[in-house]
Amino acid sequence: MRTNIKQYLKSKKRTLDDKDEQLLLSSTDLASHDDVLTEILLRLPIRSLLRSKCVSKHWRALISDHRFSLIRNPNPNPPRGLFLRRIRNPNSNVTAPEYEFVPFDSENHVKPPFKTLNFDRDVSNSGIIVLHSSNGLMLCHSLHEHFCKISKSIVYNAMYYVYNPTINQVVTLPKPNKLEGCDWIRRRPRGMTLAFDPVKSPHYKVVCVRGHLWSDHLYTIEIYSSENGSWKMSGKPFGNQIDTEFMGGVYWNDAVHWICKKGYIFYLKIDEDRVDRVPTPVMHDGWNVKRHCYPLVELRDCLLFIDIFPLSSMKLDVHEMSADYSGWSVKYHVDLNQVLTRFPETDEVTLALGFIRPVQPFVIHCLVVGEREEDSFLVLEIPGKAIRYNIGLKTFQELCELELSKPLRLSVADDGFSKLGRWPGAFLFFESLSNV
Amino acid sequence: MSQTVVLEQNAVETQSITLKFDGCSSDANPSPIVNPENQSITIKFDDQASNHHTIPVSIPNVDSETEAAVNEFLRKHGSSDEESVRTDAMNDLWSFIERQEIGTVVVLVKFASDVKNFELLEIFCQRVADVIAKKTVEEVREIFNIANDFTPEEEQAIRDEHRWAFED
Repeated sequence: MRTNIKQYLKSKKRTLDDKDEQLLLSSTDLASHDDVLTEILLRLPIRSLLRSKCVSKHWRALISDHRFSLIRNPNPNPPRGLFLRRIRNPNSNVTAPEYEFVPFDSENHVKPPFKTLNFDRDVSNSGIIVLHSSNGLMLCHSLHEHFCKISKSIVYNAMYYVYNPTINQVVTLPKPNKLEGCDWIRRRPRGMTLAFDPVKSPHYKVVCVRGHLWSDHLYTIEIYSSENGSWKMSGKPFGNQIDTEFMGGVYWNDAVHWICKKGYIFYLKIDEDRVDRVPTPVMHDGWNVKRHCYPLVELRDCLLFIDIFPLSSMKLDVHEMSADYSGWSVKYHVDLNQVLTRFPETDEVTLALGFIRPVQPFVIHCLVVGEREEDSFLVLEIPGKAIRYNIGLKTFQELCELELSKPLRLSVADDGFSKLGRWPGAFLFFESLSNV
Repeated sequence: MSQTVVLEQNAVETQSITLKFDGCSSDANPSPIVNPENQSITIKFDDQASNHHTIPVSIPNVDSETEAAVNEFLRKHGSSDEESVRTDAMNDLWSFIERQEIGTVVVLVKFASDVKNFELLEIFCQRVADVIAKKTVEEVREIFNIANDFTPEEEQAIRDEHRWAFED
């Protein structure tokens, strides 16, 4: 329906002289009434909103405005889908890592924002990968290695980026301090975590933990702040954290948390530059913290711990941490037996490999806590498929087929290491207009 | 709900009438009804709090059917505190608006903003957003009568930047 205000007004049965018509037009000229226009733009779905930037320079200015994005950013902002890194196909010529997208709503599919990351034209080999995702922004990384003839060792040249896939905006981070020459080997980052909560602040921080490659001495933490654009050292060096998984940091409660296989959660309170620890709710021998992308997950202001044990079990407990770190409480008991028996693919895996040792024919990629209890769900991967299990309703839906794990294969091996090459390999996608 | 006050003229000599009523206030002009038999005057008051909803408004640049629908909404919405009545009123107005041309709705948005009626603004803005969400950029320009001030290169640059928004 093409309707033009001028024509519409002319079609009305009123006799207007030129002056009246001028008045009428200016009074209905919405383009100049920013407050009303803003009310309309705020109600557009995100993709329509971005398309509307093309309408005129005025509209683009309104939509791109920092204050507009603060109001428009949904709050609460549930994730729309999950990126999974594809297992590299040896026959393919593509070297850049590819991402498969799992939409969470099986009916209203969200189009995948990207398949590969190629925002840095200088990056030719190895490509760009996602390290961490936080409330709409993603921390990405490209890594070059070359052999240094002088020191006779491999030199790493890493670039770090913060990327917003919704608005396709990226910024390259300056390098952390003392990242020169071959000192890199001894001081390689053990893990980088992005700390971003648009509800609290439009600025983000990046926490970098560095340590020796083969020793548990001298871990240091450096924090980058987007507010002042620079890195600073946080607190004093510490030791004895060889069993802590710094690659799987979780940002919650103004702190970054890492799980340690010894049975505690090691965390850094960002603004206080203070580290501390708190015991995990359970601890098991031979515990495989990398089996699922968790056990730690943060969403909607809570820190959750997922406990699946023994390994062959289809049942799991989800524990929630209190904000003052005083204790855990059980939030959910989940029994996946009902779901998994519906999928013969899981039986095949168990039958094929189960006689060697207990095998769990599924991987949990994420747990999303909904606004209402019945909206919480898990996203599982079984061979060839992604499934959404609604915790409160005890129902499930098939979300999509997964190319990356053909039948009988999962993207995570039994020792927990992602076959995708780097752990963790699943990243949540949130729609966000936040500028990087 | 309305309250009725009955006045009886007792003393013939008195020409003044004292009105007393409790609780309610209203700007609506009461029209007295005179009962010739006992010479009593009945005045009915509407005791509703939000008075401006009950007075019919005049909306420039829309046809009478639209004006009537908006006024019907205002009357119904303001007549009760009950959630179901208000929701019904909103649904009726919403169904009506969906059948109107987008040009009408744009005019109504402006009206709602001028009179600062937030319920109306919500409904009309949402309708405009729903309609333009499915339109192409050119169609949106037509609706709002906006000239394209981008060069072709500038527009293409935006489309490239937000490929995710444009491809299907």
